[in-house]
Amino acid sequence: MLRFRDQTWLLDRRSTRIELLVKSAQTLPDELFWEVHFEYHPGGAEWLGVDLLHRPRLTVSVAGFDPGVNDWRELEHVSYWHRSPDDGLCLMPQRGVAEIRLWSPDELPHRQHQTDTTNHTFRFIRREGPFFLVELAVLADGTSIFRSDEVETAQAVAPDGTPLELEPDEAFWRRINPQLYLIEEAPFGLVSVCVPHNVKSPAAFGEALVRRLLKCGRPDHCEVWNFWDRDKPEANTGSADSLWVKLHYGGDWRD
Amino acid sequence: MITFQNTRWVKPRRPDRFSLTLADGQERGPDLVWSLECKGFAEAFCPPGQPRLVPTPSLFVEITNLPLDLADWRAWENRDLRINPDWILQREFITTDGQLVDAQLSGQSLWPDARADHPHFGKPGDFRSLDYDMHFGSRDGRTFVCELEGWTEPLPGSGITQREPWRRQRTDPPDLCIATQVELDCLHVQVAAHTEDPIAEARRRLWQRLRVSDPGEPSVFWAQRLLADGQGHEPVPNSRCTVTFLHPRT
Repeated sequence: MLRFRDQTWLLDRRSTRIELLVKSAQTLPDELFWEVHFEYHPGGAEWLGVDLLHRPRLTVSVAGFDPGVNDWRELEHVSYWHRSPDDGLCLMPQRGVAEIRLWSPDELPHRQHQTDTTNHTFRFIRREGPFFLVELAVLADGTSIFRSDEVETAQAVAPDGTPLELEPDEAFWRRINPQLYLIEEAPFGLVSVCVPHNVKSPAAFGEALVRRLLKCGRPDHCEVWNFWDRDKPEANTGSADSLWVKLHYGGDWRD
Repeated sequence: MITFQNTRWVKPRRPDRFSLTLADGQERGPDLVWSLECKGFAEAFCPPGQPRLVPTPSLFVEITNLPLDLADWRAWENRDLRINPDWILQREFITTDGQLVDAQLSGQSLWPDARADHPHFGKPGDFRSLDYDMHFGSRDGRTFVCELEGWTEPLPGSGITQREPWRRQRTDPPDLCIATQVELDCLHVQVAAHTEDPIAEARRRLWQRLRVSDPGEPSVFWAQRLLADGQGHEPVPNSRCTVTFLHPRT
């Protein structure tokens, strides 16, 4: 469920997932680049009969957060719900950057409206198989709303109606009036690994690396992307980044 | 027989097609959608007892992604559905394949260019409906009697005379009426990755979910992956796949 600009939004499950970027074989667990990504199209009566290609597209993501986990399943315990007063002073806080992008098909091609903010808070509430229940609030004024008495007495409710005690619920966020609030399920879906060119099997190497870093099991689907052009070696300035393995988990198999 | 905007269209002998798609267990949201395809030829070009005149104007009507949760495929028998915007808005969602499930009826009338003197010839006729009633009658094997009444609107750019935008009140008589037989002939079942025997798993789920005991001839469509050289794709065994059964014997 997304609340943003008094509009009904439909979650696009094809593109909603938790993603991870492993930039090199020497990457340590605390150097991984995490992102949780949601995508929506407007729904409701005013958009009835309009196909998805002609509806606006809204993407909401939190990128660069640092959960510090050694097992992907430990994400379910990661929470940035209660912030410290100096959170806003960091260029890249531990909870990452929230990115909101809105594409409108009626405007110029590829025109987008974009907001990046660190004035947000989010958490992983629980895990069910590969799916994590994620709650995110992007705030108009983060410093003034976190009165501890309100936060500690409110209740949150999962999409299936399960009460989540001692945390703020949707009514709380309506009263606070954040710019954006969502609570959705997102699968642990895609890990992109940069692998050396001289490995025997890029896919096996990438899979083993991710298993070592995060105890991931066998991926559902694996792709090797080779950006190295043997015919034009002079054009391959970034050879170290030109061989990527994309490992898909949790039923995800699309780019 | 089909009547569409005061033109009568006769049905081919073969029943129209009726199919279902069952999502894999990892899908969030409804896992079962139905689709229906219907076809007719302009009656004026189909003299009784003789071959139809060629080229023949044709009409295609299609309902895709109709979400209806049934515990048994036979439960379509004697079932009435009134699809309207309220019904759709309560159920619309986007699947993991990025498809909008909105139960929209869409159609196309094809008028060949051969006779320019006819007012409709050479004009495409794309239309749709978000407002239609369906009645499924008695069942014979896997074939159902089906009647449909719809209130349609032309799609932008269509050659059909522009009408009022799509209405919320059913003030006019329906401009699309179909009386046909539909045959459940295609069952798509998505199967999660690493399933040891996708066909057996698809059969099991069809029985468990819809009481389909003999779903017919299977074929497996694997997810595709990009080749390492970027020049094309190849199927990926053990990835997510779709098992399609044709001509079920139920």
